[in-house]
Amino acid sequence: MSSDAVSRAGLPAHFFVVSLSTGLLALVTWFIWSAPPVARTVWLAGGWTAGVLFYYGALRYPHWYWQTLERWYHQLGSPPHFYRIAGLWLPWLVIIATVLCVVGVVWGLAFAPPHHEQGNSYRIIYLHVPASSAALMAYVAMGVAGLVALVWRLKMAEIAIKAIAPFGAVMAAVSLLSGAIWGRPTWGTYWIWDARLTSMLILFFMYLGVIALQNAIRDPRQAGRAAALLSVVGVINVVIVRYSVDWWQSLHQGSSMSMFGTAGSAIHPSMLAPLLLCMFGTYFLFAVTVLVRARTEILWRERKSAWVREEVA
Amino acid sequence: MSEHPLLTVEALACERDDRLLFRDLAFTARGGDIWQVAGPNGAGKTTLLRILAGLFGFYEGTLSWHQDLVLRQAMLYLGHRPGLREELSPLENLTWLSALHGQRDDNALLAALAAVGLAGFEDLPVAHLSAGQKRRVALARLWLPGKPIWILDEPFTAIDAEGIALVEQRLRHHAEQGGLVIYTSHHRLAADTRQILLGRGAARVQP
Amino acid sequence: MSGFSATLRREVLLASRSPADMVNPLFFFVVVVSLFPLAVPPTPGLLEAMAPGVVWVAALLAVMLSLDGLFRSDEEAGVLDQLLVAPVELYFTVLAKVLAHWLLTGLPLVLVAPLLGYMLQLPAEVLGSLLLGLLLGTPTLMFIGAIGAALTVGLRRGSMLLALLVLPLYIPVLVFGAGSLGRALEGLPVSPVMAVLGAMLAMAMSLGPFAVALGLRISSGD
Repeated sequence: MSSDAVSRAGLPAHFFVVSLSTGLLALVTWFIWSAPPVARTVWLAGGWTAGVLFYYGALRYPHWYWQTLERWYHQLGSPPHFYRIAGLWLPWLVIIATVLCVVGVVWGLAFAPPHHEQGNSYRIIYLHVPASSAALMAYVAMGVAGLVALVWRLKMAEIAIKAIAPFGAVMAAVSLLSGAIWGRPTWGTYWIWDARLTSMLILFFMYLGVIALQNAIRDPRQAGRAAALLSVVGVINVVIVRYSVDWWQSLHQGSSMSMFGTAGSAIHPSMLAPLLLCMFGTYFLFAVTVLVRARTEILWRERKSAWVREEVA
Repeated sequence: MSEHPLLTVEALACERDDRLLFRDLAFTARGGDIWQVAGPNGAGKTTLLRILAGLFGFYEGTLSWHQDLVLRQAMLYLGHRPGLREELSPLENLTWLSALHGQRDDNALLAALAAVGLAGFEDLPVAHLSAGQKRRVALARLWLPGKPIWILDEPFTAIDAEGIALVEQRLRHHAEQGGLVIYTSHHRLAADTRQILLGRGAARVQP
Repeated sequence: MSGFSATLRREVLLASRSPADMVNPLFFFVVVVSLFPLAVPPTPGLLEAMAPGVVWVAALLAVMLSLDGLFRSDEEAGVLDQLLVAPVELYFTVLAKVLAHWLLTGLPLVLVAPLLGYMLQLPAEVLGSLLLGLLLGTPTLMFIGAIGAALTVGLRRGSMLLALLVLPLYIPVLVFGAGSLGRALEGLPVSPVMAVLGAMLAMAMSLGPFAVALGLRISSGD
């Protein structure tokens, strides 16, 4: 039966699954490569196992896979369904986000040991690193949503872009501010033109661009599509800017200071654990914020329909 | 007259600026038809035409052209504005527009300009023409061959009575040859012109 | 391809009828670069060290300012609609428009730049790198900026928004362009950097028109 369904779905579908899973695995591998060895091993082992399982399952039970994918597409792509499902998930996500963030921040600020070089001023990383990572991830998510919105004309994807942009902008701003606060005791200056901070500044401007474009266009549907195109172009730019600024910084050897002193020094596990908690907490905060904003946007866009009137009444 | 429906529209609805323009619009257009889209200002006439021309995409309902038709090759769309660059002459404007449609016949362009009464004005920059003459330059494309479907937004504005009669005659000629004309105006061509009446969120098709 | 060449010809014709539009970016470029020697102290070597950045930023801004008019006149005249309904693929007409725009407004910048570089006390040996860098960089800037121009055409105060959208996208070209000149000043080989600029140009020229065409469709309401 399975081979039947595969032949029915056609060779292109087969290639789609293979290429998608391979692409994702390659992306995850490349992304994870720069992490500390323990984290790297865990992520890669887990990621590749999941990928292989997914691929195997897609070949073995393609019918179920396609049905499920189609069901998700219709459910998540339809604003009323998304509203309902997001509403169910939200309380749990809020709880998880709160727990992770509170535990991580308290542990990091109060209980983690002081750094051997920087003393207690390093603790800002519990704010800075999660914010930076969230800002970057949010833009990538926005870019993916943009691609979906353009190719499949999915309204939900446009709403996602509108929901993510302000969060990403705030995270980028927090990253810049916390980076500046860190800079003062560490390098003696509030701002330094190093690769990371400069890339984050550019990312912040790109977020502002998406927000400004959406505000400038009167028709929300047109604004959504315009923002989608800009996000896709921007994601490509994010990658190129990162390498450009790295190269640019290598031209000016003086300011190539890594966040933790000499490059290549690993973070001690007792400092790493609360950092990971903060990072995951921020990712869940991202999910919560985006879902809440998306739900609000759905209510506004569909405000004339019957289901919204019932909901609000 | 051809009997194959060139255009089938079902349950077309459009909302713009938080206002419902029209809803449940359904009609079938065939070769040889002339359709007038009428209604008060702001009723959605231009939007409807842009939807039909493929320029505006935010609508609900289905819009299907005949399967053998490639819309962009078969359609002549004349918008609200003349669509001309003022620095260029009528001939230069039309040469470029024709080139976009794969036509490169200078003689046909000169003949078209002559047909709208602009013989002798071909090489003057459009900026030096009156509003009526500018509109005539745009309308000259009605005298170029090869486009069975005409979608015209306010073709009768800014031209004098003689020009109106000229264009009317041209539209009728086109329909007699089996072409389709959909235009907006307050001006009804004949008692048997089919009408789409828009206004206050409703759409009526007559007959 | 006749749509491509017809559009190219038309753009040149339009520019010849209103040469002021062509010359404005050039004037802007020259004036901005000329302001810097007046604004900085005449410390020996300072101007030369600043020159790569000054020339590139001025060229970048001149290109960006010229882009606002790329589609605006056509949109106001109602000509954009004709482009969108034409059988010729929008990709080719856009390619022709942006190429023509570069030939008419960007190329003059490139040709004048060595003169300005000399004025900023750049040594004669690096002027060749300046020329090549701008030759590769300005078309890239045009194609990237055209995306912003397509998205903001028809918007009130679109030019301010255009700047905000497009400047972050310009940074890679700026970094490599000015960087190439910096390397040339230090006597290092610049061909690797030129290769990167060339690659960016290839990508912008081949993929850019797709994004520009999509932007125009979105701006028209599709």
